[in-house]
Amino acid sequence: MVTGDAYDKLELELRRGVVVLAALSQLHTARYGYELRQSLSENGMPIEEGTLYPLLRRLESQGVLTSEWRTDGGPPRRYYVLSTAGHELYGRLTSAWQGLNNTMDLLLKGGERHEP
Amino acid sequence: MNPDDLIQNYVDDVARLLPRGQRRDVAFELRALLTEELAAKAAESGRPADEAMARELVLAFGRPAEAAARYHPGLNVIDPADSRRFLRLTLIGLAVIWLLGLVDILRRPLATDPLTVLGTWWTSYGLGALWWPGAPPATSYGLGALWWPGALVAGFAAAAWFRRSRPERAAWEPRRRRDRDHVNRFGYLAVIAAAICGLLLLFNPGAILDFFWNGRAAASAYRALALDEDFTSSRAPWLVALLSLQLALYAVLIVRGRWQPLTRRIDIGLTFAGCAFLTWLLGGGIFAAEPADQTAKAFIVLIVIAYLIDAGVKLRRELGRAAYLPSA
Repeated sequence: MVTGDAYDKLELELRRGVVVLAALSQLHTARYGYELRQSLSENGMPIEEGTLYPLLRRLESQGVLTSEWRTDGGPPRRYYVLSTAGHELYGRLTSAWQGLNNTMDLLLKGGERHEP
Repeated sequence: MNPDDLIQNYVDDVARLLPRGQRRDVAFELRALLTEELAAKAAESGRPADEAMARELVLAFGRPAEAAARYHPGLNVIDPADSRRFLRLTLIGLAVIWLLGLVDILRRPLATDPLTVLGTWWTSYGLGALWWPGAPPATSYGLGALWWPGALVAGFAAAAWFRRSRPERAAWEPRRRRDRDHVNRFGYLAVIAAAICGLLLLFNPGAILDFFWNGRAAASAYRALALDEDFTSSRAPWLVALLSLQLALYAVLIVRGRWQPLTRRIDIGLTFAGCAFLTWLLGGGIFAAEPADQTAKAFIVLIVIAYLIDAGVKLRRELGRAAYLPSA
């Protein structure tokens, strides 16, 4: 019997694989870190702040995102948005994800057929 | 503590660990984000933000070192894949150094009571050298045994750097398969002949002097190579017995032409027995003259080190063979 602890770890591994694509999907319009986290959470993809905020910086340093400080009458916030290279990367990652998703559907259906 | 101060405290600790170029900007953003998260938490719970709430928030974010590491590409001095090997080599090396160090201390004239022996060992070969650098033994032996992990770190770091900078040259290559069980009969015959000659010369050292100087070598040269009486009467028979067993094993190998599981295991046992015996030899005199005795013992220490390495490699190889068998 697989323990709950093992399930949690494996589920986290699965989620880790899609964190980047999930974040990119919400950055066609400029958002700041907390706003992005809320948006992902509302769409059923909660990501820990300790994972998401540094990820935005790393993606920016890789040229996937661009960012700027805005005040808009409130406290200063750093807004992130997909760069041109980021749009291209998003398209490729989306295709890869869909291909992977189809493959996994086939594999999982095959697995169900073989269950005793 | 005020929750804002606690967040500022945490952000300062994270920022300190970031590259200087991104420190201020990341710190400013992180503080803003954590403040916003805290306000959201407070609104959700229906009470004003307090220290406990702020503490829970930053603890969930991770240790400052972990948080900082997520902001920039990590630097691994030793590849994580090498960690277990590094740890194993470190522990084996330290154990060998400490063991040889203990043997060295035990054969000193002042090694009388166990506490003195342990104290001397601790402040020379042991870790104590680091904590008690003023002690005379520590200054003569440097940093005890800790040079070994240091050397390993440097070696593993250089290997990791080489793999990262020239991945094409560091790619894995299959080894040419060697038949390790094949026995070189002439080689083993030569070893037997050399061992017998060595024994004859050890017990009749004058022969070598007569051979080279035609019987006209100085009397002091004969005295220098004279064996210690205690060695001849009590320890030499054991030396002959152990060597005879080893040579008998080689003779069997010459006849059979191949190593077999039993002969491999006997060889490992004899190698460890040889180590133990040679270590025992260090405890007493071998040659009557002090300079010859010290030189011989220095060679014996080198032989013990080589034997230990050899025995370790053979044992590891033998256990590896067993590991490839199907488990029950």
